[in-house]
Amino acid sequence: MEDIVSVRNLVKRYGSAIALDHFNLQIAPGEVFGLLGPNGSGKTTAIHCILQLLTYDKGQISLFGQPMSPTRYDLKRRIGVVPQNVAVFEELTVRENIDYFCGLYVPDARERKPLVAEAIAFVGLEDYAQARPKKLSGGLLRRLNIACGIAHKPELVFFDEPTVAVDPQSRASILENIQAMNAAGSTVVYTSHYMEEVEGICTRIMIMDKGRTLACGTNAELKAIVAAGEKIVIEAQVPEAAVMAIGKLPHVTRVSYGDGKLEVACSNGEHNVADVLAELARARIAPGRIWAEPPTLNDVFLEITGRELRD
Amino acid sequence: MFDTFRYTLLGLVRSVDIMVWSLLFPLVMSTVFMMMFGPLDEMGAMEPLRVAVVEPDDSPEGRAFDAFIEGASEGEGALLDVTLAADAAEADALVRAAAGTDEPYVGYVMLDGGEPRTFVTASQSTADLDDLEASVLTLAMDEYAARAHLAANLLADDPLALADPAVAASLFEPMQATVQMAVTENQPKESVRYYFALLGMAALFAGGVGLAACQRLKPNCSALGARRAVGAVSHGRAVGGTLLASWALSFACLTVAYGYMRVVAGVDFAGRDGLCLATVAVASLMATSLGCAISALPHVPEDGKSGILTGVVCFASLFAGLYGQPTMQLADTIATSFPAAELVNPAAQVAQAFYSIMYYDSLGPWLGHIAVMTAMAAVLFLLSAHALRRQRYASI
Repeated sequence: MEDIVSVRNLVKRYGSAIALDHFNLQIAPGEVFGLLGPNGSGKTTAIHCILQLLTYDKGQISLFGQPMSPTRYDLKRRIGVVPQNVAVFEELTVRENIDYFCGLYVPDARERKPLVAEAIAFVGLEDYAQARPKKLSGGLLRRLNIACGIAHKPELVFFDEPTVAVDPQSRASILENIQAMNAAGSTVVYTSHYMEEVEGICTRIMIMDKGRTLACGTNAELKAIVAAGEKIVIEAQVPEAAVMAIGKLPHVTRVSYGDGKLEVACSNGEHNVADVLAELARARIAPGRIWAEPPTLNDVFLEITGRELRD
Repeated sequence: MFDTFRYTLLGLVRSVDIMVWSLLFPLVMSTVFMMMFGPLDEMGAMEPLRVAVVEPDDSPEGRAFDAFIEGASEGEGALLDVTLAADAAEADALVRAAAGTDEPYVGYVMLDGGEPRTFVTASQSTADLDDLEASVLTLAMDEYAARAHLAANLLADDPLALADPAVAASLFEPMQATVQMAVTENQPKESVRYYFALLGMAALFAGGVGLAACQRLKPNCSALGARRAVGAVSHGRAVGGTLLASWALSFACLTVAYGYMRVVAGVDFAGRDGLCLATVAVASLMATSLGCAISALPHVPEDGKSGILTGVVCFASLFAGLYGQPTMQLADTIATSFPAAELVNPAAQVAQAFYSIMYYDSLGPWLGHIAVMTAMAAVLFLLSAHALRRQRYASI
């Protein structure tokens, strides 16, 4: 099947700084594709280049199998965008805002009317249809932001960090909406620096940093990259000598201690927990709670870059 | 394009900042001007002279004097506002009692031995107007005395001449030695210039409409602009709808200001409403283009652009003479000494266009100002064309 988004060797510079360094991206129809990376990694820049808001120094961008340009209104008509910052008219009501942005894609007002009503219902803003944005809470504003981007039922939707500064309840609602849209046939490109969200909804994930692709694959494929078979967490008061001793155990790839928590990353081994506990016992340390976690995308990022994703 | 026009207009109309400066500000200033200039305009108008008249006796001289007084105090444009007194003592008492009040008497007149005698009060204030009124009263009485003498002499020397109705009538007709010449289409009024200058300032403040509309249109100016830019409406239509909405709102705001001045403040626009509305339309276009041009300034923060517009408005209005008599003189001096400075001052051009409508018979001067404003709009649009056409940016 032909890729719905195809980006090849995209280079974007801001002066001497390289924002995108030979960036490549292929997204198939029906995917929920996650772009994961820390702030400043180039996620939004990549989307802005794809949408032709930004000039770029090199590379080819195709959407729906056709080269994208600022005047390809036929391609733009099939795209929806939910920007990172809430971008609506402060003076228009919720309904008017959605109608306006839907009108950018659907010129016929009669055709638009049911779409607007549907979008309002989709994001649960029926009670606020006549309200102006300044009357809405942060979570409701984000929902309005989403409704403005999806009312015209686009085939491809870009969600650029839609859950930043959103309460947990609204965040869950937004993620549900995205999954519902995908189920209805839309391909979704989702950028975030929240790994839990990306893990939760994306069928494929690209990890970015400093404008470069670090890794790309399904959640399982990415975690397979990591040497850490498991992560053992132990609540205890552990002196530095004991931490160093644990770090020298076989299969231990990384050990850290802070806030009363000892975190030990291990490659796949049969007695990892027992070995660590034995070492603690030798140091006469009584452990508190003990649990083991599978690797996360943060571990993947850490493995590749040596830094935490949230750094 | 209609949706862009409709929603841009709706958004701008509901924007408090924009409506305060483009609509409310000129109305408030007009009201302030009404309160400031109303008394001044009334001061310039000649009120009937308040005078006490000792009731004349029933002699021929007395009847003639009575007829003169009656003629001078009747009808529109009456010279005298007469209060009759039984005798000189009562007239004197009336004048003295009213001295220092809001309605003083200029003095009193009486017929003494068949000849009018005028008693005027000494000036009660430093204002020259009191002396002027006394002089006018004295002149009127002197003229009556001269004509009474002429009639008496004629009666003595050639009584038959008085039988001629034309001669008799000429004795009592007002002298026509002075003829008022009209050098302008309408009578000049100092306060009107302030209203014209205010329209100039209001037009430039309406540039805020164009500025705000462009800021909401361009991806490098606002998140809203970026979102609109990725829509499937052609860029030309988006720009066209936005500019049209800005112009329409500027035009509406200025028309309201013009209507308020015309109807409520009673400013005389010589009844040339069509020309005035045409001026408002062109001034609005120029204001929109000014807003666009300022929005296109590179490397200036968005808040800074609003500040620049305010600076331009205030500076241009200074040289349009809005801030009082000294600046009016400054504006006149600059217009005389450096005509080019006035030529490039958009506020002055708007004010002068209205001035031309008011005072010139010919449409030539007005057309000149309209041409200058149209050219300004064209140049400003041209300066902003690159920014308006642009769809992609190096950074946003």
